[in-house]
Amino acid sequence: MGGNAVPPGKSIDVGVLMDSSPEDGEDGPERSVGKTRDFLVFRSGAWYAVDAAAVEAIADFSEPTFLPRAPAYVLGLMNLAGQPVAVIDLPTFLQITGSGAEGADDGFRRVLMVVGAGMKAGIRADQVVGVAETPLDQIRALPAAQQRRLARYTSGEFDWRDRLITILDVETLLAGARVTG
Amino acid sequence: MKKSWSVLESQVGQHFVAFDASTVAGVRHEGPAATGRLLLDLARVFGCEAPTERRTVLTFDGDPGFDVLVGTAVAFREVAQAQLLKLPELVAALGPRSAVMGLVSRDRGYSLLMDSRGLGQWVTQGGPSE
Repeated sequence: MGGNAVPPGKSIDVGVLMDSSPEDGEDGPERSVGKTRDFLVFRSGAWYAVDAAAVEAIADFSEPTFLPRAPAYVLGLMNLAGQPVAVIDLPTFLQITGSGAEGADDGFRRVLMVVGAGMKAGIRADQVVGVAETPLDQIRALPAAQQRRLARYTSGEFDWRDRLITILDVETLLAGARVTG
Repeated sequence: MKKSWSVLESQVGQHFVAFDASTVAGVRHEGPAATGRLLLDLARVFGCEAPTERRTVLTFDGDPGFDVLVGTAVAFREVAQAQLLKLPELVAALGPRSAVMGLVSRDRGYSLLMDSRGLGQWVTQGGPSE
């Protein structure tokens, strides 16, 4: 299965990125037949994927509203699907430096609105490529040498279109990013 | 149930702030500070460039012991309940320490609804840095 590049637009439903729709009786991202899972693949410095079911919407990135005293990984607030949502800069949160995000083309910048841990948040993406329908047996555990902080928020990796894609666990990611008193 | 609120909005650098208008006791142009009176410059608090034009000073009810320097222009605006929004859950805990009570929706983005009493903590703590 291939993916479709995300065109500029106001807000995109994730379903339009999928090459095929689930057949009758298969309405979840994980199919009982063939054991695959749909991941939305995007670049934020490095290549990542999140469970497509955790993505509510994709919108063009615009300058977020500044929030004083927010941690550096919170870029600010954006109106996504009619509500204020905090936008996370992934490389900053994961403490990954020199990942090339600064060289990203603004025209491809998007925000993924994800849901997890009882919250909604935006993840800034340099580019959203599409949905990868991935056989579960092709998902590998992360190498033990992987950075500990990154490993905490990931659930595996897979190869897709000659790229190494790291799967983010949205639940632990948002729980970890939640600002505490 | 109250259906609309009056807020006083101002632009500080590229940011918009709003205060509950019922808490604002006075609005005046920037001038020599009264002796012993603290003046909280929101442009400095936010780390943004202050406008070169003469700015506006807000004073608040109950005399919190300081005044707040905002942008050059201020405007009163009536906002409906639906335009007043809570901080999203991910950053809700920032509210008390950032003196941001919530958000006021605008055409593009939001104004930060500031709590003048909460700003007093910034004064005593010496600024916004973490």
